[in-house]
Amino acid sequence: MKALTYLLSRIIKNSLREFVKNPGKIVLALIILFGLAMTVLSTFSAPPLLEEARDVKELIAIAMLLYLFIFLSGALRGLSSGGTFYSMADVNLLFSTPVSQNKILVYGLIKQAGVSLFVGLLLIFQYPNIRNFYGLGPVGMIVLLIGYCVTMFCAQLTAMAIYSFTSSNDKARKVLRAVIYIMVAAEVLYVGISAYTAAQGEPAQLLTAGAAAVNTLPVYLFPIAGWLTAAAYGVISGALVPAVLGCTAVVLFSVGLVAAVVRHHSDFYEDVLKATEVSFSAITAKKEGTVAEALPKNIKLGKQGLGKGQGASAFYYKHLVEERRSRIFLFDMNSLIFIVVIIALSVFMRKAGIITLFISATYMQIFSVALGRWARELLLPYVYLVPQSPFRKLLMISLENIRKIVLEAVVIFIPVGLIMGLGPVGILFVIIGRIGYGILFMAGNFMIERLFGSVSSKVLVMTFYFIALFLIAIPGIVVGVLISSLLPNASESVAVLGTAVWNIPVSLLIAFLCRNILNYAEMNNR
Amino acid sequence: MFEVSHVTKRYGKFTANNDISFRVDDGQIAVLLGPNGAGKSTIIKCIAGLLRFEGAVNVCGYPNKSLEAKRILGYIPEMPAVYDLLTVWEHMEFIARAYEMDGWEQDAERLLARFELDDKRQKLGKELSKGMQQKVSICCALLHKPRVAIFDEPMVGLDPHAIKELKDIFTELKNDGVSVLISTHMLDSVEDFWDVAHIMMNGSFAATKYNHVSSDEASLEELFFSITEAPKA
Repeated sequence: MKALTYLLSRIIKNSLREFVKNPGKIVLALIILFGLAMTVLSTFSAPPLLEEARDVKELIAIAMLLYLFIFLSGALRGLSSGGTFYSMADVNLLFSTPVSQNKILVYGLIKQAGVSLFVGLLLIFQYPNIRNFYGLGPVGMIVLLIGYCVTMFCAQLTAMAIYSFTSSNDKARKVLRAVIYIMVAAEVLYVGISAYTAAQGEPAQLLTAGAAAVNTLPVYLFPIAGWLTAAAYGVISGALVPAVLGCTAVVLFSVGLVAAVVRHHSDFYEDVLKATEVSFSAITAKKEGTVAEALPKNIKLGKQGLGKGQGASAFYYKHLVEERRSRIFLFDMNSLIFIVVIIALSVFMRKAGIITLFISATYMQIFSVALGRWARELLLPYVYLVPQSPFRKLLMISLENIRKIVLEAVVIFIPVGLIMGLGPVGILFVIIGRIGYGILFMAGNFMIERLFGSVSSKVLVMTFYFIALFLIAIPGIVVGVLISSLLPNASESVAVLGTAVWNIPVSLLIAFLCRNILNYAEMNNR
Repeated sequence: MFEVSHVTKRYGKFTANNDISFRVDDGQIAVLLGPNGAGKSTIIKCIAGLLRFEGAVNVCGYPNKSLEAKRILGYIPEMPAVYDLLTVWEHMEFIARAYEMDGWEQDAERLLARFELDDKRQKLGKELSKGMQQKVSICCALLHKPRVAIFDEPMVGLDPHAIKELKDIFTELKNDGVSVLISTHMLDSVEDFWDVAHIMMNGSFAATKYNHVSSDEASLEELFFSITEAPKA
């Protein structure tokens, strides 16, 4: 065990040392800590947004959905590449040492627990919404957070166990996959039918009835996600039995899985190898700045060839071909997730008003824009090498993203507007507001490339990016507030439109000032 | 030809290239040799116009960032540069369109055949092995018939057939009057055709050797090791 404790303590020590030496990381950590502190303080200093808190069962239902999504997406990896707690260095160096496999497994579990806890901490940013809508106290928040961390941990463990027991048995894999799908389908059917029956055909009652249906024994029985939901509900509402039973089930399940892997299939090295290689290539890609695109498993080639485009416009037509191959319906996987989440949020946030929802949607838009095809183009040499004016190339590599921003705005805010009862003019205003922010975020990216193109620290650049975006967006928010306050009886959507009055012209100005970035930028290989 | 004049490239306090000057004439093959971290890839990226630097790089008399220079420059990066969602043939079409070429199809066919990619025309970039991706990168860089070709570790990951083919291409480029610069670790891979070799250490040129001197001079390999493994003062 000495070697492993040495390794763990060294990893922690060296990470801290590297952190202290890196001003960019310190600034980013301070910003996150400040954000967390402000989030918690502002939540307690301000009165709740709603006079009467919504039913906490709704929140528990949301938690169940989140836990289920994380658990299934993690555990199902066990049917393909497996799960891993290890890095490539662990595989190459540690696995070949004469250290006991069981000890190495414990080492992996400790590492994974640390990672899960760190990711879970970021959930605190959602605390204001949770407190405002459901009046949840700090203990409740901590319970939900722990549930999230435990779900992540159990998902990895389950993936590893599934892979361990089924990787060499195709039939077992198929049976297990079918069992999991049937269980999920049964839960969905149960909740759907229960909710529909309880709502008695009243669409307005469906949400409440659905939340009530999730908070019942058949759902609580679902492994991990259901058990943790039951435990969370038990602690939050003071019901001892579900709390104790839920926690016990999770502990027994985890201990049982570890014991099963160790006893019956002690040679787990092979089982984690593939998953480690997969996660290693993803990490390497990230380090090289080439974040892997979320692509469908089977890509349909469809019509081949660019067909159009000469000079810089070849980039646009190339992007159209790539976009067609990467999308599932109208959008790629990342956009599709963002769209579904925003529309689902609008159901829950109907009473909070469009501005609250618009803020959440805009926050997600920052990531959706940064993952755009134009940003990926900067990672390969062609855009710098092609003999065309840098401004034309910049326009052409941005065009597909602008098209996507507009399409996304329409697809998101027509249903959201209908759900929130905005009316056609209100919907049009928020669509324009959304387009304004999309273009502003792209311009922010251009500006960062222009100003910090040669800075090699990714952390530092991201920090500057967020600060710069925040500063550029402030005048737009002020304009929005001013316009809506100057116009009598103006709706919230007028304020959203107001932001575009600033965002669109300032974005165009930034794009013009950065027109030569492809001459000044360094190939982005951070 | 192309000329590098007093190029210095810094990353913060670290100097990757320090006041480098050299030229490669038409029909000349220059090689950049040096240990890992010597600054070979950095100077190549500066010439290709991918990095900012102090000093000047002129390609056939044009500044390297000008459109005229870009039109006649071919760059093969160290890491294969392919688009995941384009097929091999679409890479060719994209380059031809971006460089506004006419009648490129036959040249593309010939290049793909030389690198045994003709039966992979419909494969997506993401489906190719690293070696095949490198072959596509090479084809993309040569399709527009550059007058200056710079190769950064071009043989890494290539199979023996592709290495042989690439060596033939170096000679053909030289015979066509193209200025060729190759950065490599593999001394034996360039011994048959190099004209001038620059040995880099710590971001600078430690020695330059021409391939037409008398036999009593040290060989390229001897010179390389005498510089890179010299005892530290």
